[in-house]
Amino acid sequence: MARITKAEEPPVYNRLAALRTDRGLSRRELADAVGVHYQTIGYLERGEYKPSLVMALRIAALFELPVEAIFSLNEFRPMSALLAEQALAGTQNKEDS
Amino acid sequence: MVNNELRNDPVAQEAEEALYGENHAWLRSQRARRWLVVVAGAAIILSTASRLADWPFLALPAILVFLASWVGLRIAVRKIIDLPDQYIDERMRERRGIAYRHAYAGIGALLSVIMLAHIALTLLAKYQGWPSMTGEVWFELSFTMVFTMMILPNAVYAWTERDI
Repeated sequence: MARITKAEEPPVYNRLAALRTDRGLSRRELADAVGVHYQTIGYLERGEYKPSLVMALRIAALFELPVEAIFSLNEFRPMSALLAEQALAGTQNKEDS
Repeated sequence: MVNNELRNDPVAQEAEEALYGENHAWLRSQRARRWLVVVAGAAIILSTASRLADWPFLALPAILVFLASWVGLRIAVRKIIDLPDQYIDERMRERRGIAYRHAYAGIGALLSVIMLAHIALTLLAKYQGWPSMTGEVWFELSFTMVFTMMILPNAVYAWTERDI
């Protein structure tokens, strides 16, 4: 299998900014909880830095979510679209029953 | 980042102050950092030229400007280049590693140019009757090497990082 160079590595998408806002945490608070500098949280949120597995797992543990709910190799759909889809599915289920 | 057990450690306190202190925040903008790199580079060139061309009146101001920009750069990069590993996070360690790698290549290139020039000038003096360079010139150039080695990792880090 051919080796992937650094330039060929796919981006790692994350929902960190949305989750942090949802939980009412500042960058500094999140950084202190995870054990990194607050600038690193900014780099992560902008997708300019890919976290190590240890850091990703720490963040997942902090938010009590599976790591793949926060980090993904595929772009996340907006949360508003997911919520709208769930609401629609809920309405349809009620109608069916 | 700095463990609670290390709060009484003077190095830990220095790290905390360097990494989170808000003093001299104006030095940390990318524009200010790049200006410092340019000024430091100009000061190294000027100090080398002043010593080689025997302009002693320029040597001391150039060295003082160099030292001021070196101190400024260390503050601007939050001393990340010099802090022990345990005080900085994984992104900083990665970026510092890249800065050191580029600095190593840069210093290696500069040293190679000086050594090749030394060899070429020695051969030209021996076989073509060129005036031979005295040991004093190489002594002066060794100062340039030391200044470059002092500043290059900080300069690379300061130039390339977006936010510090």
